[in-house]
Amino acid sequence: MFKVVKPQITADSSNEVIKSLCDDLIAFNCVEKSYTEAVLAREISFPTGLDVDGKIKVAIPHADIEFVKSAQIAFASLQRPINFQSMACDGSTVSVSLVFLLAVKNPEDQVDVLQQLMNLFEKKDILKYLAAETNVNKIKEVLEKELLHGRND
Amino acid sequence: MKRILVVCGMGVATSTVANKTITDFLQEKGIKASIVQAKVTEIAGYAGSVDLVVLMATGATVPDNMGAPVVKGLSFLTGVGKEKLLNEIAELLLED
Repeated sequence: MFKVVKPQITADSSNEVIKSLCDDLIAFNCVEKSYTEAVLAREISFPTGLDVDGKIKVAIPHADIEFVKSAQIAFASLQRPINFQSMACDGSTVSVSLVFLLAVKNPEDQVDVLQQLMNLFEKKDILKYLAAETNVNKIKEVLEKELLHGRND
Repeated sequence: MKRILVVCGMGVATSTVANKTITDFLQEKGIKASIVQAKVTEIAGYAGSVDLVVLMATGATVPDNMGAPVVKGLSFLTGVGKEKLLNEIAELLLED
């Protein structure tokens, strides 16, 4: 579920982060090559920056299930926050520190993990930890604990 | 039974979360309603046949002939104002 974890990356735009995470998902053969374009296109019509409570803001870029081979949540923390368009679609931007790029294969099977992800967005202390941590394995541990209740699948 | 339409861009991630959150809440409150998930492009097909629209893709336009109140569901993703929104949904469902 968390094959791609990229702490403290630097990027100049939301597109750059999305491309970087998609490239890794493609390398792991989790999504089709066309996933990158699909996510970028979706981000334009339905942006995914979330203005959650607290300082650490998040974005959940994703695209249609048809491009997904195996379900993943690709994670990146940003050294400097990057503007994503807000999901509120009011033209506002959200200064995002954490990106969770979703590759959903079967929404019904993944409802729990998606729900847990949204619950995580309410836990300011954990978002803060994820934004600062540099160790990939430690981040994976926290994501597994929070999103899969410790299950590793 | 009242029907709720949950709309998001792809019908994949955000409407799935909203569906689960609303289902759990209504169950807890003992309110019976059915929930359907749809993509933005499918909204028009539900005009006149649902009692409430929860819009996850906030930028989407709802047709004039929808015949149902529309609430924005962003709170289900950010957690900000979630309880308020759930109560609003319950009130709208209990209205006749």
